[in-house]
Amino acid sequence: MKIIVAMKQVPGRDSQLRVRADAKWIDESDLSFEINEPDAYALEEALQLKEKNGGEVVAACVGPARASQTIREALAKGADRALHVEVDDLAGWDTLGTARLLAKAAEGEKPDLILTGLQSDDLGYGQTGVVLAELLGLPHGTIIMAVEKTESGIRVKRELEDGWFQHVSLPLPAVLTIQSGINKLRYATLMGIKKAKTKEIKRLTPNELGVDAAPAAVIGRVFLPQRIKQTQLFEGSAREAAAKLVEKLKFEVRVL
Amino acid sequence: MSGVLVILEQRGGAWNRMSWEALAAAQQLAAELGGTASAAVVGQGIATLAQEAAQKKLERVYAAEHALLDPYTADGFTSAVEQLIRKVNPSIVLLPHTYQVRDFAPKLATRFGQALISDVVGLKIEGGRAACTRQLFQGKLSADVRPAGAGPHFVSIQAGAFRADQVEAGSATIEAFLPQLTADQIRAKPEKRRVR
Repeated sequence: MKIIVAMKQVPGRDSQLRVRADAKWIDESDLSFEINEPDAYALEEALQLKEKNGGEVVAACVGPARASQTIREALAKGADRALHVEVDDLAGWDTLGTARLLAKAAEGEKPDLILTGLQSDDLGYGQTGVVLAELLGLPHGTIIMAVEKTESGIRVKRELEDGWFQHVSLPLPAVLTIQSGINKLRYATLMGIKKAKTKEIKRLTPNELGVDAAPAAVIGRVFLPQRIKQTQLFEGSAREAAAKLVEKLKFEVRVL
Repeated sequence: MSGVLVILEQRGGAWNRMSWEALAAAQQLAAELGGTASAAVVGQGIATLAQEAAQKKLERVYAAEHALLDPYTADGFTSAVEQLIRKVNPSIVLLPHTYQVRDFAPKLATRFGQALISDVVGLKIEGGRAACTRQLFQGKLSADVRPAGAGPHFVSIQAGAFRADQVEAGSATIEAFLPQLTADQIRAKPEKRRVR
């Protein structure tokens, strides 16, 4: 089974984020970057599927030159080779544009399966996998908790809301977005790190792939959400106060 | 191309309650545009739900019904809703940001060369088009995002961003819509839903 893992490099989880002077994105200077955590689970699932069924794992990444660090880490963990679509101004690309780049890069590979994380930790659109499937004319499954190979394709376990789930059979090739936490992430071994240095990273540009950014969704302004600390007292009976609290939690804090 | 179309979500004849929040958003947006929104109910056995939706302030309720829409599949829903949108020709399509919408709406928007602006927490009209606010970096930052191009523009709404109790009552015409679907279009074979 030939598996492509679409992954993204994003700022580290504990980064102190500052808005860029033009407010179109964040200031990326002085930030450290790492693999988008949900994509790490997609990579792990791909490596485990390869160990079970044989085949090849190809890491695919759209990002600036710095993303090659994250690509090397994927190779060190066991990916066989990589595709790096070099894009300097990733903030100027929307999900559709990024998926078009990945689709063009993946097309020639004729993969059996494409895996990706269920969303990115930066933009958080949660769409790249589904859009990629549509562009390639492939079926997809989202928020996948388990993948098993069958005679005719794959059978996956999809997470649904409120603790429900569903098994779905799909023909191959197919695209899956992988739920975070479904497997135990491996560390790269010293041997793996050593081997990664000789593995192939094929570099591609949007120009070579014939894809323009031409975003359909444009970020106008990035800003810090207002955080106000305040204390409110709910008057009335316990019942009334509880109702008011639920209302606040639902519609103002939006945690319910 | 004009107006707001909201896609309401149901399963087995029961509403996903986030549908009403999306409906409230659609009504407010349509009012800002100086019109009345329309809604769509998609599935099989949805006549009662369409009647319920028709008691809200809406221009039309489209009952898009087909045996192949039950159970839900991304292939079936994308095709059915695509056909409906091509007929109704709205400038804005609103959806509740549910698990199901996450599964098919990005595919649907791609069919129109659009990017779904997903999981928005704020939505209003500016310069005749949707102006959305959504979270970045898991809520550490926010961003104003606008759709570009001719449209239709696709927006999904986060739970709690609009209030279901602000849905305005009214009366709407119900219009049956029969999407053209064939069994071979539907590639996924879903099994029964189960609880963990």
